[in-house]
Amino acid sequence: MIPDWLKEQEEYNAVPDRDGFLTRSILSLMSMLASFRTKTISYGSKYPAPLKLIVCLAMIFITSLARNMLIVCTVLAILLAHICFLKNEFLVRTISTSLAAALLSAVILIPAIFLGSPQSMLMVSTKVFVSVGLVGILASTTEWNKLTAGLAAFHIPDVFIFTLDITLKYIVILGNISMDMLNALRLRSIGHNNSKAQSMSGVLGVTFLKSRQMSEEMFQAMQCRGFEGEYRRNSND
Amino acid sequence: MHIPDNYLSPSTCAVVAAATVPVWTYSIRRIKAEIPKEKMTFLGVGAAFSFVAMMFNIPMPGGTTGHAVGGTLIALLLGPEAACIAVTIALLIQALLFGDGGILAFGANCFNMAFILPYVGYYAYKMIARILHADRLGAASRGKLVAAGIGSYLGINAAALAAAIEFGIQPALFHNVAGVPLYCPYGLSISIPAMMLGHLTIFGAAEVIFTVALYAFISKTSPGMLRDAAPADTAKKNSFPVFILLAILIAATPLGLIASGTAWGEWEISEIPTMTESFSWASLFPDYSMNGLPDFVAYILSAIIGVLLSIIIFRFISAKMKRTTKF
Repeated sequence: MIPDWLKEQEEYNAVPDRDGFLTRSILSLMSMLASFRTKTISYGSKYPAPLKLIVCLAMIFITSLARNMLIVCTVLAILLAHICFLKNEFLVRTISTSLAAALLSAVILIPAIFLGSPQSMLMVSTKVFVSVGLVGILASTTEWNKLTAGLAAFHIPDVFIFTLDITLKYIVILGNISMDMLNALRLRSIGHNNSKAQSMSGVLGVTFLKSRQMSEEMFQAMQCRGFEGEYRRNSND
Repeated sequence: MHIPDNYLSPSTCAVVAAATVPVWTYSIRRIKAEIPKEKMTFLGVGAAFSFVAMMFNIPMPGGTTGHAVGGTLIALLLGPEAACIAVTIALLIQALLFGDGGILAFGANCFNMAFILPYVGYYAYKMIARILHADRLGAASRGKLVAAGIGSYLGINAAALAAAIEFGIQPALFHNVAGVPLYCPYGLSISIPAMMLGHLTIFGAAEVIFTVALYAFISKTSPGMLRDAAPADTAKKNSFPVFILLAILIAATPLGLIASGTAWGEWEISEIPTMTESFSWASLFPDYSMNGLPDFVAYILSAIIGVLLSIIIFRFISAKMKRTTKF
């Protein structure tokens, strides 16, 4: 038996509300998480990570030092040859990030043309494209735990690498938690909701409290496995 | 505020990175000495939190949004040393994995955002709290929130000023024989106003809202977690100075728009006379850059780049097409 109130025609129209900041926060969180999820290796994974890191650093250094367009163009040719062999998704991502960076710097440098140094615009934008592209290739051909292990070749303290590893894992966890809360906030605020902006601090505050709790639990788990406060990396990693 | 590569000369990057090394060493030593071992794991999780927090767009008066760095907040929660390491790691991940901020400029970015920002923010907070006689009050007291707001504002602006100075000294120090700047072409007279106008208004406001709102939330829900939690933390207040904050923001936002508008206009008008003399498209492609080498090298190189570019463009378009036709 259907009750009478259920048969009545509803005439509720939600008042439109501004929630641009919610959409934008959710979108930037999503794109960040998406790039953390794609971990497949496309090309060149047979080389050790420290070597790749050093080569990448050296090429960026050469590009930055170069005063001659020919050197920059040679590095550009090497970079483009590498990009050609990337898988589609990595090709698109590398090209779009480095193109965006180059275009941004070209726009920033437009006034320099009128200030009497028109070469700066072409030179600096090309260099920015090359540097961002090199880092993009490094990121898309190297697993991230190998990349952090590669940092050990530069004699970076173990505590730092240990912290970096935890950070990389927990960014995904905390990102998922805060995105769930943002989505919940969005679903619950139908019509006009004045306190929506105030909930922003609540979402981040709860994320912080959760992170605190999770780090305590992780420490307890580590202690159960014999952690005594000193972190040593396995040398044959 | 993330400085990309090739805006600063490698030597500037080396000098600034060398200046940051003692800060890192000091911070790690202080963390080892001060932070008990059960909180070591929190460094990593804290860095992850700061990274996630940077993804949030803070709603601002007037319907716009901005995003904060959050260095001062982490300094208030965990101390400036921990904030230094947490922001450093967040910056490293951004540079290595997202191409946001340069690899060579990493030291400079850390100097600005992982050293100057949290340390200035934290000590400004301490000083203001003492001036307002709030250092003995509870964490959620009005004085402490005001101090946190002003501290974070000063912190982010000090960092922006440091970045502007690093940009601004480039054309004076590094140019070729013809006087053409090799890196950032703008001097201090352009870089400082360009950087500071945004940070004194929109970005500074985002940082203040972010710091004060979160500080108030955490001091209300779990005050024992704050670094300088007063022992008698019972006198908690439910309201925080939203009105003061809003008044400052409403006053500051149009100010920023007007200020940036006049600065841009002034600068263009004053530069137009010189522009007509020095500007020519031909000089965009200077032939001096290929000097000293046989022509065929340049031809071959440009042929290679052309072929590679066309392959990439084709693959880029086909990858995009495939994605849309799947629906």
